[in-house]
Amino acid sequence: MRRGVWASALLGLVTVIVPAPGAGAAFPATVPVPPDASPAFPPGTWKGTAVAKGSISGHGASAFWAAPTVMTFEFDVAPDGAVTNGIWSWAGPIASAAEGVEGNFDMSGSGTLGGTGARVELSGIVHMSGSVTVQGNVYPVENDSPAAGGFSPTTVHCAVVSGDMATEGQQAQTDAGMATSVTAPFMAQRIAGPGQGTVPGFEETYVELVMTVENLLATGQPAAADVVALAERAEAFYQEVFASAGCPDAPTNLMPGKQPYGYFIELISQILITALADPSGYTADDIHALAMAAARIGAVGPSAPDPELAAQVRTVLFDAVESKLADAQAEQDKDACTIVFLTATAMGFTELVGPAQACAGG
Amino acid sequence: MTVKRTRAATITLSVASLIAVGSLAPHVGGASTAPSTTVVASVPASVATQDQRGEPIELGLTPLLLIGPAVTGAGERPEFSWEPVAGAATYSLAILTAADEPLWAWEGAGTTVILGGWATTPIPAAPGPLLTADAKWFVVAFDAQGLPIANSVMRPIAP
Repeated sequence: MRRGVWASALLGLVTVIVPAPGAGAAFPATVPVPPDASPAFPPGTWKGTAVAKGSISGHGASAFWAAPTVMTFEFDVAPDGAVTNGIWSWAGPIASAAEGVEGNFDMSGSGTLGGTGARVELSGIVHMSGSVTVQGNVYPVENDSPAAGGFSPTTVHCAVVSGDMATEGQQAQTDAGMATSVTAPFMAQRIAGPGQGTVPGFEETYVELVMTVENLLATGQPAAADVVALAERAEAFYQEVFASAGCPDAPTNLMPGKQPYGYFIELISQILITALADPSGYTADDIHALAMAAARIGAVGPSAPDPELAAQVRTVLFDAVESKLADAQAEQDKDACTIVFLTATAMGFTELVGPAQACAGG
Repeated sequence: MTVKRTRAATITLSVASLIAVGSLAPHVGGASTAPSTTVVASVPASVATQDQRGEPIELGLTPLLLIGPAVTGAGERPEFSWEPVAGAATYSLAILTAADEPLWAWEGAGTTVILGGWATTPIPAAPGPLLTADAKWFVVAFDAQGLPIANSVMRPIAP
């Protein structure tokens, strides 16, 4: 019985990337297929990378990626939108646990891709190799399971497409009553043709940036300089990739004037909302740096792709600047008042500009 | 030393130029009643002929001289530039909409940056912030300790 629960949890984790038919009652074998509508990968050849991480739990069992797992894929999108010549692969460690049961596995998967640019469909095999310990008894596990499922882009540009491969798996797990924190953000770059290269270091840089932003989010109150550096690096990386392909006539779902760094904007926004809930951990200089980074990456202002999230970030920034103004006024710290004034001016916090300028002696 | 007659606007001077001429010019914007003659020693002629239009930001810091873009006809993805300031380690640029929303911001050691942070002007279809309506911008210079040492006027800009 316990082994059955554990097996369900483990296979459910796998469905995040490759929903496996027959994975058990806790995890639906079929995933609802969204309508074939935009956004979609535009016609061309695409090469991408996803980073899977997180865990699921429920029904007395849990499973998690023991380390971030990198998935790579490449496919063509024909002019009619059909995906052809697609391949995918991934490998990584997974751990599972239930009462009296522990499992550790090396898992790998590979297969082909089909479907359409709006929903890329996976098929293939997932291999699981490892052991499970049940009440002190160790059992070796070697197993092949069929892989199926799909993913859709959320942000589409002629040169770059991004999204989250875990979206469908998350929905299936939630519907099955499981708690899930699994995400698998991906970024794909248009390449010249099958087998051609991406910009140098594409996969390594993307994986490193994803892990950096995840680690900063987990920190709670990361150093302001680290957040600023991440925003700058994400911007530089995207722009290098964007500049690598000349395709001005390809379709895009990016609204003009909006920043394209969707995943990084979302997570940096979450970092700011969490970190600035208690601004006492930051100096006025820190708040200024964070505010400038927020405006730069598109976490606030009219270039933010998510106005609701941007409004939340603006609120925490305003409260943080107001807090620093009160501190500076109380301490009669003119340098801090000057920084607060500059931050308030740059962010358009007009209510704070006058008091900050008076405090600064300007 | 060069003497240039201006219109109503006053030309602000970089620290280097102030040192060069051994004098201090007022740091005010175009709307002020500025003197009609200003010393512009080491400021390039191309800069000196531009208005330093904008609202003054009075902080008692050294003036920072904005170079471009032009106040009007700047395009949707303008390049911002300013005179270097002696002792500055970094600069911050903030661009705000007419409604006081932060359109974009940037911090770095350079004195030129394209809206959005592009290394070179991208194709028009490139993503990122665009100047599509009236806005305003200003630049602040910071020393190596992070203290602000110079600031510009708040200059209007239109695409």
